[in-house]
Amino acid sequence: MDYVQIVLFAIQAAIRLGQKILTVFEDETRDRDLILPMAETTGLPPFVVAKHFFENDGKAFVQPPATAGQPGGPVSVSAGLYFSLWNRLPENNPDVERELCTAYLRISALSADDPNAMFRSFGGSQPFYDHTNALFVVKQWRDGTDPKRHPIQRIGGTVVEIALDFVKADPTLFGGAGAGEHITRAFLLSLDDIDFAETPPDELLLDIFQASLHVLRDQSGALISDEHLALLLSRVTATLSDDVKRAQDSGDPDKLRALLRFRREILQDVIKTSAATVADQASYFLGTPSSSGQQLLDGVLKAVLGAVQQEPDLFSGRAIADIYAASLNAVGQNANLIFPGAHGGGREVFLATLFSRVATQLADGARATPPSLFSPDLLRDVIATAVDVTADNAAVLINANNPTKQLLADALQRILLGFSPTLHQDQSLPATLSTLFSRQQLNAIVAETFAAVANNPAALLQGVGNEAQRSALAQLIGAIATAVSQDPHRLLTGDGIVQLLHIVLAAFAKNPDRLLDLNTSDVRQQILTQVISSVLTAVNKNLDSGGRDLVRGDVLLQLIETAIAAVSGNVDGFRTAPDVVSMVLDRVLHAASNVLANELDAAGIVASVGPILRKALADRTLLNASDADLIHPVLRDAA
Amino acid sequence: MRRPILRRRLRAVGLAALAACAGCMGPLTGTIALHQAQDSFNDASTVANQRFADAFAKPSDAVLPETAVDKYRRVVELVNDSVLPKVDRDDLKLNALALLAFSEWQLGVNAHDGRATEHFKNAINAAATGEDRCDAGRVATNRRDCGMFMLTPGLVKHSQAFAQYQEILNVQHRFPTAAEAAQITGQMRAAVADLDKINATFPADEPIAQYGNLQQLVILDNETHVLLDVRPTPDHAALCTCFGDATSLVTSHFKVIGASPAKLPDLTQCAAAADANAPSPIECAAGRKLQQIQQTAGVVAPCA
Repeated sequence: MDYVQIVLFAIQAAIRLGQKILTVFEDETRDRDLILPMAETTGLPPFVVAKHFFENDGKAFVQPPATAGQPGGPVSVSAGLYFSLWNRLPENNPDVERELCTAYLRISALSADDPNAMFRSFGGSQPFYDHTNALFVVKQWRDGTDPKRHPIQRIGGTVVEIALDFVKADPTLFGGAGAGEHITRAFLLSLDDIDFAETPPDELLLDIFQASLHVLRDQSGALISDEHLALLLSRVTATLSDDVKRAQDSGDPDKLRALLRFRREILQDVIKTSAATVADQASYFLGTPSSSGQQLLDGVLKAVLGAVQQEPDLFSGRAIADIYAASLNAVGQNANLIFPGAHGGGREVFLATLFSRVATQLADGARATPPSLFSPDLLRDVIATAVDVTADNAAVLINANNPTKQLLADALQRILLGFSPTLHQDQSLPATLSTLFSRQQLNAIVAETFAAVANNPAALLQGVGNEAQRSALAQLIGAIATAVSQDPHRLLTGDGIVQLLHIVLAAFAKNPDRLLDLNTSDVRQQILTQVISSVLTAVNKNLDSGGRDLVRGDVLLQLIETAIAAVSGNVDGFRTAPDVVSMVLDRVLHAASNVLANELDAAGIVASVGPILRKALADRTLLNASDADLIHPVLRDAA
Repeated sequence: MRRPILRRRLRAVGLAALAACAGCMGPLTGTIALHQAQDSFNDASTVANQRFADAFAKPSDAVLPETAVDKYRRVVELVNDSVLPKVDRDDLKLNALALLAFSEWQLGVNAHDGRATEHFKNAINAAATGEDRCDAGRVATNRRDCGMFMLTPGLVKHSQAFAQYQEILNVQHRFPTAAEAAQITGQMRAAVADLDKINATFPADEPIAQYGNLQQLVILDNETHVLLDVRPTPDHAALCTCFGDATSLVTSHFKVIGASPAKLPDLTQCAAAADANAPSPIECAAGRKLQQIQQTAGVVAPCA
């Protein structure tokens, strides 16, 4: 900045400061307290009140002096004081009555200060204009409604704004190569849009600055350019302060507490993640400095802040930082996640609703008795999976006309329902299943399901009458849960069940309307349930009877897949003879442990079950043959 | 060669800055005059209100001292000559008009030169101008000032009726006839109704609404005085209406003091002025006034 520019700047600054001082002075003058005059009054009580007094408690004052009071008594000094005035009452003269009213007022005032006064019982005629000056001070604004800031802040804020303008105008200020100068300059530039004079004082800016410095301390190199870092900090600041203001306006202390905790615990992570994520595509996330309206980064942050305020216990600590990071990454893949609200919501409405719905469902599941397998601890992973799947399948999963419609949240609801005792009418089910799954496996179930839903949401979610219980997804999950609960030897592991889910979803995709009957919500009646249960029951029975332990893990899964495929190819045959799967399995497993022990290993069992089952479904009399006659031809064909 | 050019430029900039500052001077002097007008107004109102605060005041004290009247006159001069022509901002003009309306009202109340009607008319005109600018209470600022405009016609109406009542008592030295009382109280009733418009625009805890409601209560009290002065027998039904209206006014607008038709207001908190939860001074005044009205009601024959 050369000399002329500095002088020009100083003049502009002086004018600006002068105008602000004038404005503040004018505002303060307008809103000065005024003492308003009262409507006229005589200041005296009505005569009937004074008369009543002198006829009763104050009788001594108007009696003839010789008869009034007792010698030495409290009123003896004043006895008969107003006798002559009282005697003039028949004149019907307002002046006389006013004199008596004034006398009454004085006596009342004296007795009010005297604890021994005999007229205390007739007090209350004291003037109501006590503390005159305070009484009629009428303020311009009702308490707490004056929108103006304190004059010192307004003028001081303008000085700060002038200083920031100076930093902006002179690139040499904080323009060194040092990391501290880099972040300080970026921070100062980010304050450009803030009205320090008129916005409420807030420690947010300090929090932002501290968080930024911490980020920089952890990462030696500057992540993004000064301008983009300034823009990032500006967007984060504006979004956060907007939410804080809304929370303040709502009068909800829980929301404010949640936001303050966010600032204290998460802000640093948010800035760090943001700086790292937006470095390569700053304009994509942040827009340009002049762009108005919400940008992608603002949208993600706003959605996260909404969730923090709505469910502060669920969205806290690392979970929210990870959710923010996952969401920002997903938005980096597909901007449609920050969707223009079609129903009055902000651009963040899709993400915000997704967060909220997922959190609510997990929280509801935890509150249920017995609690759901899917606890709120999974929130972070479920949301991360959901935003990831959505980014890859936005066209299917985001409804352009209704961004609050959440297909993956609906899917989660059906997963929870499929494993819930409600669907199975079995209160012990969650306890049985909980021993089977690790957290990772539960997440895998969610991921597997979300991916399938993205392929064909209508078939899996809608069902009959849009009832969750009669949706294909709830019934498919329910079928697996039912079958697994009938596996006393635990032949299927958690991983195995995840693979089974994959098999079942794939089978359903190939024959959706035949394997499930959505007119019933009874999982046990579903063909899929019966097929899986038949296989598991037969294998467990074989072990119980001392048969060879050949069918576990992958072999068992192949056997189930084979059985489902066979039945899928002849559903009518299965309906005619629902026990045919058990019978075939019993025969083959029995043979493998007895007459055909030499020929049948695990691979042989898998190879023979499919063909035999297909034939038996077509003609049940086939099973009348001996084990050898039944199985040998199939083994030969396979060889 | 560069120095003269630089100097010329700086001179130009300096002149521009001076011109900009000079542009501020008009509004600034107007605002300073408004500040002075407010000081005069507050001083005058303090004196005006103190007349009623002293139980030992002589009846002649009811007349406002000339110094206070002078201060109200000074307000009128400042507003008309130094504020309204100079300030730019509408909100400052509204504030000035509010001072003008109330000062003219007070000058009308205390006019001894036969100019009461003229002052009252000025008050009404200033209030009407201000109320138009307030746009029926929709301006964001000047809430109190806009409320003052709404109250001015009712206060003037009451002052005219009260002056008539005082003329009968203090100049003619007689009590009002039943017909005169009916006419005076009718005008007071109309004043109370005018003042009630404030409640349609502002919430009950708005300072200007509380002030307006207290004025209504004072007028109802004056109405009882007029009615009780009718000899030989006051209009008992009209008195009962007055007592009932005063009670319901306090119970609906001054809830903090806990008055109800069946219960006296609780004024114990009024002594603890420092307590943040204590009722406001205006609420305490309203409660005390209601106590006095109820005391009067207890002395006259019971109402049905």
